[in-house]
Amino acid sequence: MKKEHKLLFLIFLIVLSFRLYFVFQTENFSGDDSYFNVRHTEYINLHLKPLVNDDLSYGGRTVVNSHVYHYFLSFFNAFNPVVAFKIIPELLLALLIVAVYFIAESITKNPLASLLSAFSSGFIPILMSETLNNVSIYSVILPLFAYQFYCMLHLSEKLNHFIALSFILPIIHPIGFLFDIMLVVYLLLLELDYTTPEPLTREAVLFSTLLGLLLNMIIYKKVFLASGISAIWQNIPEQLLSNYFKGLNVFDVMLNIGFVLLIFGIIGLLIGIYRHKGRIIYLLSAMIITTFILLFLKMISFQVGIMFLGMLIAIVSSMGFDSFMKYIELTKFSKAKSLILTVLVTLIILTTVLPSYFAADKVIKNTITDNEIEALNWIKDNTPQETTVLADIEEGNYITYFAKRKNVIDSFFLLAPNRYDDVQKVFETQSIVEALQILNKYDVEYIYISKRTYEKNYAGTVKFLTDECFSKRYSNDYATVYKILC
Amino acid sequence: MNVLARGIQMTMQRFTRYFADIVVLLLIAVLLIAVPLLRPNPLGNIGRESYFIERMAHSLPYYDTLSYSGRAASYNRGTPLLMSFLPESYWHYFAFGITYLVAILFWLLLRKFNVEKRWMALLLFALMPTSLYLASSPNRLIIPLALLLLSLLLFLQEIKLLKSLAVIVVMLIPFFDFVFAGLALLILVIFGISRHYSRRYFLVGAVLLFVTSLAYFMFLYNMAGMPDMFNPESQFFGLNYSLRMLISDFGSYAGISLFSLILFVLGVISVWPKKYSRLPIFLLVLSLTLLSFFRIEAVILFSLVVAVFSALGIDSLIKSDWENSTLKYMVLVIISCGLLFSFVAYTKELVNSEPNQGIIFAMEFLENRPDGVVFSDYSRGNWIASAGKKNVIDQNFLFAPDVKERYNDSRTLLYTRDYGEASALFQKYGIKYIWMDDNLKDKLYSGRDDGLLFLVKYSANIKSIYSQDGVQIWEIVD
Repeated sequence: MKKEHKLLFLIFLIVLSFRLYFVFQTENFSGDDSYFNVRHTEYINLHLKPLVNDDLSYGGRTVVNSHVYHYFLSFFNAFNPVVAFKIIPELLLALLIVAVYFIAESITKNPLASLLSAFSSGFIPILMSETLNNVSIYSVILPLFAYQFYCMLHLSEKLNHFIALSFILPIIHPIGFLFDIMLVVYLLLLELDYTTPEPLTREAVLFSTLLGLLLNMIIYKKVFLASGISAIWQNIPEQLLSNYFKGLNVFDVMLNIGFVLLIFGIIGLLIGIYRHKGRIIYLLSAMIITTFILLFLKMISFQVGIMFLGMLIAIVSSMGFDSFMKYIELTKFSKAKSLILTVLVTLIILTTVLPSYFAADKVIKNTITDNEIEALNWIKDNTPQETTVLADIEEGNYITYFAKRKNVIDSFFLLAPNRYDDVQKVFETQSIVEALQILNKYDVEYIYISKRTYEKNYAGTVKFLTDECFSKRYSNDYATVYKILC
Repeated sequence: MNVLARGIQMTMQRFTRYFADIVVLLLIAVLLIAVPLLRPNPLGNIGRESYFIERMAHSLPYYDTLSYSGRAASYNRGTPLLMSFLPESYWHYFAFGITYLVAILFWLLLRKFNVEKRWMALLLFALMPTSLYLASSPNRLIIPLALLLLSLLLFLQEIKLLKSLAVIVVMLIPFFDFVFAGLALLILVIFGISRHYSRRYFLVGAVLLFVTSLAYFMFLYNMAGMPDMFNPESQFFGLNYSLRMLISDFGSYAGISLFSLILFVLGVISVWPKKYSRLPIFLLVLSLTLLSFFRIEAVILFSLVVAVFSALGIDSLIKSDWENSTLKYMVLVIISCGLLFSFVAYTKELVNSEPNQGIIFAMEFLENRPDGVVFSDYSRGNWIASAGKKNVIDQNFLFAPDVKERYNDSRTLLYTRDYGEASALFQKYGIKYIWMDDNLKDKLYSGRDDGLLFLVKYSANIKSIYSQDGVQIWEIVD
């Protein structure tokens, strides 16, 4: 085995161990989206078919999803749930660094720069905070995306893999189509620069784009019929999309990606654009431009956009690292090359690994606690089965999973009615009448408020404490359950 | 012997070609008749417009006592008039028959223009949701389309008598649809400017079409007064609305499939270098493309253009050199699947579209009730009138009395929880019945008992007289 491959394997183990260390600090999963995935996976294990008509979510709705990821997890869940939900997602995300390494090596032919790039990609803070302990679908999407990118770079040898991934990516999640959009932008960039794309590339892009379109049309037919082209926005409430971008500043972006990584990524991109001008640069530029455009149009959430950007910056940073090393070789500092590299690695650790550590720690601390689960279990044990429970939008899936009761709203918006404004009003308004009108509209009988919800500082939560229409039925340090009496 | 062999070979070729022609024609017929055949007979026609057309075809009144509780029948009377000449048992297949005629006229026109891939264009046209919609139920657009294609074909003939006949044919279009007449005028002007022969006939046709449209409009104006020019269905503009009108996969009831549009783009790219030699065609294509974002009538015409360029697109894909033949065949398979998927999905949507069994039964129930005005959303107006009852508002907005006021009042009545307000409106329009069905409830109230439904639930003066198969009817008792 080559020395760099051994080092790569070591980095893989470090990244995996880092992730698993945090993951096993709690039995629960972080983020309520995980419980959406867990619930659907467990349903498949029980019934061998997906949950399409969900009686609990939004009080009853059709779930439009390919469920490929759920079937994938259910295979492992059949053996061991810990393997399925704790280990497999982290293993897949750790494999991302392998894909990043091979892509970087294709571009730079510099194993050391590629290793640095791969190492950085394993500790991108936003990747940590959005995917750690999350049973996230991005644990599959991101590595496959990166591999698809690698296949694109080696199209003649990896054509069969490219074709297979063109099938797989769009059916796992609609974000898989993002790759096809990037490819189309890539062709446009080549046309604008009067560069003729290779015939095989053009054919592959046409094939992949048309296939992605067909698969999305088939899977999400009902969504497109109901919403038209706005289905691309996945029916995410406008106000929620705007909230993603509120208070955003450049430092947030830098922190989420990693300062040193970002700097070297930008350097790498600039060097690529102005000096090399190879097709790879066009491809990378197309990907970065597409991500920015989609972020600007709010077609993807901020977190998802920055995750993809982080991954792309990590790949491009290999060019920055490569150029930096070559530059050092040309200067008097070449004798202190080892020292400089050590300083660089230290800086990377300080600006990516350390923020990732804090991000991971925060994720685990914000994971649903046993006290909250206790409150949800109280609802399950003490309320009739047809009860509707109101919770914050980020806790709707807790209601369906733990309490096994109907929720008013959760974070799966496709084909769901838009109730975001109403739910926010209940929490924000200080008018009991207005709140009760909305609660009666959705036949809500109980309200679940966690410490997390209180910490959002909604102006109107105080009415639950004071008004006689709301009776406290269960309370602990982390969650309270109110019954509506009026 | 050689001469004989050659003769036999030529006969065989001609036979094969004719056989292929017959097979394609039969295939087109099968594709177009899919919806009328698959839709269960008890469910009757699809949509709302067909019920209005059939109601008019029964009696052809000058005063419509049912629509808007009574108004001048200032409608485009062409389609009902034509249907009235046929026995009622043929009405179910009337739209299919005319659409098939349109397909044949389209093919003849393409032959006249020497379009090479006309069979492919015809097949693509038959696969398009637009033609499925046209063939499914009586509608106001199929006959003006047939007339336009017929007139274009006649204009391009050598015989002067036929060209003159074309002028007469084109003058009939306004009696079927004004917007279509406007589009026909645009097409005639473009052809008139661009072509050297028959130019006079095109331009004369355009002028006379304009005159006829104006005359018929003035006739209707004389009957009903100045139209309100209000149409709530045109209120929602924006890219999504336009795309939803253009593309069937995004919800258009008579749109073009997404893959057809992709092929259209490929076709345009393939002939782009020749655009200056056929500038009028490109001008026509551009005009129709832009207009199809705003009017469904333009979408119908645009579908013909899309069919032609899609055929060119497929041809360019097949004929171009591919580095990888696997990718080539896979792309062709994907495109075929995309076209077929849209066709099948749209057929299924149409076959299962409203009115459903519950609505048909409710209409029969209403027919046997004593006379009275029935209130519901405007989208239910034509069904209510078809059941022999007066409605408050329906989709025949042009020349309707007080459209805006009625629309606003109907919105108020649908969403109010104030019985006093509702009662005042009941009296204003003499409302005796209220109609609500499940789909309408979902559309207006997201399935909940809100607005008027809240009132009917708790008001002693409103009695439920029918509740079956997703339709509810209440009667207002004094």
